[in-house]
Amino acid sequence: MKRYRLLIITAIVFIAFSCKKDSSLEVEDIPGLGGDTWTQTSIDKWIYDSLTKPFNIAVKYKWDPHEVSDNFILRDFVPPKEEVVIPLLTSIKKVWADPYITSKDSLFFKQYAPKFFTLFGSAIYNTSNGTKVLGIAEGGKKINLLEINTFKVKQMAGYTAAKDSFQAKEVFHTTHHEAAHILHQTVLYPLEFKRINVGMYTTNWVNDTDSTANQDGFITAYSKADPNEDFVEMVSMMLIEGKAGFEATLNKINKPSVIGTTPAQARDKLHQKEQIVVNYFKTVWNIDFYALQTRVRASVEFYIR
Amino acid sequence: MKNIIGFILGVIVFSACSKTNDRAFDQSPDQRVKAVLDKYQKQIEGAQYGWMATVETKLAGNYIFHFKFSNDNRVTMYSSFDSTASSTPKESSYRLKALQQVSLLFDTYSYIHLLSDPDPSVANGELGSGYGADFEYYFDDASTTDTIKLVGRKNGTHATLIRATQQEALAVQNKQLAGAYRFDNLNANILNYWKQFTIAGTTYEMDIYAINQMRDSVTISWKNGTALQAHTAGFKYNLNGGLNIVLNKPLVNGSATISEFKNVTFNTTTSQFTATINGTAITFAGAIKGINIDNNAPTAWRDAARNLRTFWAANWFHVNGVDDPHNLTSINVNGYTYYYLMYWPSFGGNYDLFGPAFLDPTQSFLDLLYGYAVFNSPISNILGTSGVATFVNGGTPGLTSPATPIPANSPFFNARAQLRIPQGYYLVRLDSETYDMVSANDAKAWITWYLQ
Repeated sequence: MKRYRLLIITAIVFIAFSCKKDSSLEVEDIPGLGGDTWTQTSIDKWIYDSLTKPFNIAVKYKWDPHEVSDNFILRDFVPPKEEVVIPLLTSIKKVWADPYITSKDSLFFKQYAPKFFTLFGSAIYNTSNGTKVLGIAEGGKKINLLEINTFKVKQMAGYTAAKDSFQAKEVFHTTHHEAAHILHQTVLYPLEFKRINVGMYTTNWVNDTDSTANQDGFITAYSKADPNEDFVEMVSMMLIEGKAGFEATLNKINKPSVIGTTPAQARDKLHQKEQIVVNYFKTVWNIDFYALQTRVRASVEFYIR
Repeated sequence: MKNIIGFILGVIVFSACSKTNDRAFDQSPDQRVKAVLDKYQKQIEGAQYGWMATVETKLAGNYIFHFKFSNDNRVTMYSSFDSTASSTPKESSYRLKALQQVSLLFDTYSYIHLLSDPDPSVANGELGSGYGADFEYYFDDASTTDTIKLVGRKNGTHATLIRATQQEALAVQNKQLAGAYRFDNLNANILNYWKQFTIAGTTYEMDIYAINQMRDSVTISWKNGTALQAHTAGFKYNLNGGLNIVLNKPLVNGSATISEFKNVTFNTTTSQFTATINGTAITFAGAIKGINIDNNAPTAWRDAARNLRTFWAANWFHVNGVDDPHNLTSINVNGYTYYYLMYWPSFGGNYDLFGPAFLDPTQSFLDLLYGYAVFNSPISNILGTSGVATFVNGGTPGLTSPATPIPANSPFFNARAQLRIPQGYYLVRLDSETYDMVSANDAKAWITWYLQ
């Protein structure tokens, strides 16, 4: 109590004796405060009209290496070509936003969509192991898409399916993957999902290929990272590949995994997960997943074949 | 306790309001940053004809750029990097930004980013790092009204921007930077081993000295009587009038001085450069024969290996700008893989051997499976009198062990055919253990021999 009174006295003293000073620093006009500005171009206008205004989604395409995580900031990579930005974003909108809006409504989409995309022209290379980073997503809010200078869809000059469809699908896959994270972070999927592959989640997923992961009932190698990634990989892969593509992946499983999961068990696990995803979309979001899947796949095919 | 409070009060009372303005600058940091931003913005957009720039890379020397900055964050550029960049302007965006220093960022992709592109399939740079260049620069304080010095924020490479003249801007628009691109890639544009120009009765040979694509100097050689003279100098491009190549050290040959090649242009049809030296027009083009052919070189070359009872080895032929056009490296005979080509003087009683050495399947020793016998008796079969070696007379040698027939369609047949051209080869001694053997037919095919 005594200490408390002392504090009050000190405070009063400070108040009484602090004096009015000339403001020593002008703070009204800090260059760059509120973000970079530049003269708006038709690209900026397109982004504003097509994504920012309707959905509150911002897209940064001008160079800012600080948007990628610190691990990568010292690597050499480059900004995007301006001519790729609108075709890329148009296709993302058609493959991701439009099907959700048609299957549910735009209010839902505005509420749960990731709000920030950043674009880079090249991949980020891990020269030590020969891999490259094509997409990074953070916190269910931001999606970094890389190597977009070579992004091509069927409607662009010089597109060949064999060379370009993989990258196009990767972009769509990354977007759907991150978007699904927000859904399960808002309302969690049923816990029984985590029990399907209990004990098989591992940080060693990098040593798996998609096909060895399939043999244990994971849709991709990255699914093995943890149940949340597993869940969103299921959502994303099922949407991008479509029902037929999903079943085709399952049918390719033809031998037991190294830990002894049989092909039949692996397929069964994947079907259980599929069912949980479908029920989750229905009960939590009132979305008919198969209808959404049909729409997404149709849009993907519009762009790649 | 009371004393302490009293002391604190005293300190506060007597010290609180004694502020005077002791700032080092009249203006706040923000005002000063803004002033610098405005100054540079005004300066770069104020150059009516844009800026000629020398952009440095860590791995491939310098490139010439022309930048024209607008007042609305747009920049249009040309570059000497490749044929498109030197002939087609490209517009992209830039911005000035107050980072740790006031910086110029080229913030969407254009020609300058080719130098940093980490994907080798884009601009043939190094995987993951390109040519080690920059596209975010801060302004060096040494900048003046007409010269802006930039330092890369990432790789620390420099770029120097010099206010362009109308002439320079016109030269750029007339695609004169293509000449710099062509000269930078001299060996891809003139396919001959020898590249020469003649002025005032003297023929000069010139080549770019290049290690790892660092193209910073040229070597020019000429005959003074019987003595070979050589001059090595750094060079730079400028665009006063047309494209000029300026030597940093003039070549002096008696009363003749060469310090600059003016108005350099490349004719893609004839594969020749034209220019003027001190007002005299010259043509710089490929030549079939060098200025310093040594008639004894074929003998010296052959004897160097023969006297040591060893052989010459080479990776492959280089023909019309292509390494290994015969695809020798693809040869695989039952697990024996191609290693190098050999020329083995006096391998047999009356012949020299030309053939591939193979690495055995265990990759532990070299083996000879087949070859071509060049008959050396009489020796005039091979060593003529005019400094030319020919390998026309020959057949399949009687190799005893192992006697492998040459498989039909073997790439070796094509290499053998190349060796057997009737015009033969000049030998050029690089050092006692290295010779170039250059086709006397057109000087567009050669092979480099290393003494084993």
